[in-house]
Amino acid sequence: MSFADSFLNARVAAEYAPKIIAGMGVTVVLALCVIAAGLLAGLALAVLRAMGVRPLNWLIVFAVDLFRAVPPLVVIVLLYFGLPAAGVTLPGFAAAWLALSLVLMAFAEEIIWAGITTVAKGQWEAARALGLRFLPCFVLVVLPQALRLVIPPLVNRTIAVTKGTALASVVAVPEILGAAQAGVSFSFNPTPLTLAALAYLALFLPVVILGRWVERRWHVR
Amino acid sequence: MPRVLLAGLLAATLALPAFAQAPQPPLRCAVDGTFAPHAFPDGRGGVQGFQVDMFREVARRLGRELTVDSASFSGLIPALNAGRYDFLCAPVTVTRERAEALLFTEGYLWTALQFGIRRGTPPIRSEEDLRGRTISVNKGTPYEQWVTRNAERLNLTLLAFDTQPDAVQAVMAGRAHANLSGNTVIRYSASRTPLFVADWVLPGTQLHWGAPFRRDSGALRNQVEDALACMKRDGTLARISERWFGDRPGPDQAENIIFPGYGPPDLPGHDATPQDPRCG
Amino acid sequence: MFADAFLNAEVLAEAWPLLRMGLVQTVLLSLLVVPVGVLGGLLLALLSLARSRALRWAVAAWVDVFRALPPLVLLVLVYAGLPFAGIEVSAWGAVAIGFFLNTGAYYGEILRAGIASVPTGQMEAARSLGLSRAHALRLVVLPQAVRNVLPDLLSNTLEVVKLTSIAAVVALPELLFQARQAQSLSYNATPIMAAAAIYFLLLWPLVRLLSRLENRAPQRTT
Repeated sequence: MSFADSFLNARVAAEYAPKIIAGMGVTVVLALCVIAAGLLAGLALAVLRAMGVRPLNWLIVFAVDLFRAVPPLVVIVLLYFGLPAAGVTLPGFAAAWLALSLVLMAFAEEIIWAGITTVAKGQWEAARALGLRFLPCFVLVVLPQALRLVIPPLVNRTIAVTKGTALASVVAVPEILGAAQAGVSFSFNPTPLTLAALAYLALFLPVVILGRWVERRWHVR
Repeated sequence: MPRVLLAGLLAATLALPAFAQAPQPPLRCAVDGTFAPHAFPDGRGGVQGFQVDMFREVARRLGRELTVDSASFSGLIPALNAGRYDFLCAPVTVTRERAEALLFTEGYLWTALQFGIRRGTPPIRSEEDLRGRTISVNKGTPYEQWVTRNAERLNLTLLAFDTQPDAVQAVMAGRAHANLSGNTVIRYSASRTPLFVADWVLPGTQLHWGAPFRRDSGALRNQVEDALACMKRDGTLARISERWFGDRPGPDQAENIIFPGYGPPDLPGHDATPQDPRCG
Repeated sequence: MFADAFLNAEVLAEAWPLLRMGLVQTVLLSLLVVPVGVLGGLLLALLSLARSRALRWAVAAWVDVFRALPPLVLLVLVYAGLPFAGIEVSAWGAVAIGFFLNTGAYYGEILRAGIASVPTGQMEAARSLGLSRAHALRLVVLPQAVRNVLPDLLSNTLEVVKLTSIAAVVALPELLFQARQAQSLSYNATPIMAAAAIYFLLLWPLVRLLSRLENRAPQRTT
């Protein structure tokens, strides 16, 4: 069998392309849900942390450390296969979404927090001197600057986490990789995997290139 | 001079057996080690099960060692084709599509498609009871194919997992209404989990489980099949089957039937040369 | 009830041998893929210094492709796909190749940024002192580059160690794989909980260290 017959087989490609394209839809929806939840939660935690309530901060730091230290696949597996024992049975999509969102939340919180602490005390003092109270000071002066500062690392980390949507194939979510694996097994031909790789590249390559552009545009030395 | 000749002759005679039995390389096979009771972990990093017992016996009769690798089922056939293994000791269902691409031994077990349900669920009596349900399967198996093929007609939802225990878990957790797998597996899972019950057998789905070889491994296939025929003849295979599946197979079960020729009858790859195993 | 399902001592005792074997494999895996990735990254970073524009562009494209492709997909592609091309590849081999390509791209980006952050004056000074380009790179520029991006290098290393868990999907008997095996034997979630705990204990010190480093230096690109 020639390389093309094996990896670029038109007949097999035509047969399994629909499933893979459907999988692309699932991947996109999952990724968007993760980005929304993860970034919002991360921002919320960072703001909470800025309020300076000691015991709350310890909790936040612990949660963030937890989801930065444990591999995302382990979290997904734990939520999907472990929770039913506690009476909570999440469908695969929900388990993958929750796990990846928690991971993104943890990283986002750290990144945003680092930005907040970088927008040094000088800003705080200046704003206070102008008579602004904590909340307006924080929201109008510190946060905007912090966010501008952290956009490059935040974008990069978000891209890295959303690629984890491929892990959802392990918990029976009908996304690209799962469809490809079935195709390879039924047809004894690796073309579905080639299609899967192309599908992922079609989805993420533009995003990576966008990330590069964002980095260059927003980079603050 | 004669003494030297005699010594030389003696030495040569002693050396002969060594030459005659130049050790052959071990047979390499692979199995999905999460498919109890056919192949599953033995707690010490290796695999145990019906397949392992059966093929160790085959290898013993062929005078060779056997290495058993464990890997995910969906990758086994590609790996065999790539030359990574001599054959698969996994229970591979013989289908016409597969028989066109691979050489199989005759069936050593019959398998039928069977459903397993959670205790308390009303038993499945016909296809209609499946309408609109979610069925869990092991990825890359004929069971996944059955569900995919009938999904539209019966409005089924497929839940495909990397391993069989995961598929059973899905039923236990209420994610799937039923698990579709082979009868031996369903019976075994039911014996291990009180809450999992063996249920309806799909009529007309009885198929052979045979060992697949590459198309160019005809000689080895015949050798292995001869060993299997001997094991059927002297009841070894039936004993192994009873040990793992709980009941002794009757005379009309594949464990006790030696099929004519080599390979499953009426399928591509069948060699009509009559079998004449010399059973030691 | 919760304790029974997640913190069952009996199940844990039974699963422990499997988990311990898995942990050893995970550590060995990490010891393999981190150097392999750094090597790949170094190669890419040095290539990106080439004079040829086409070569620089090719390196950038390569890096982007392997940062865009999810590592799990790459791993499955190598493991299940290469055999069709006649190349036999074991689980370890597939992991080595996959990680070389994927993490090499990430390390490459970081090292490239590190090298770029070293003022060109350094290179010029080194050359003017008579050092060859290669020597100048090795003795003057690279050490400074690495120092500049150390937090990012460590952060990526943490990611790589966590990434070893995907090897479970190609049946490499590392920690997560063994935890799932144990779980399928006992139908109890304790082994997975234990695996998560082990990962946490193993990696938490590095996470804390990184946190400290990141919060001290002003925010940089990752």
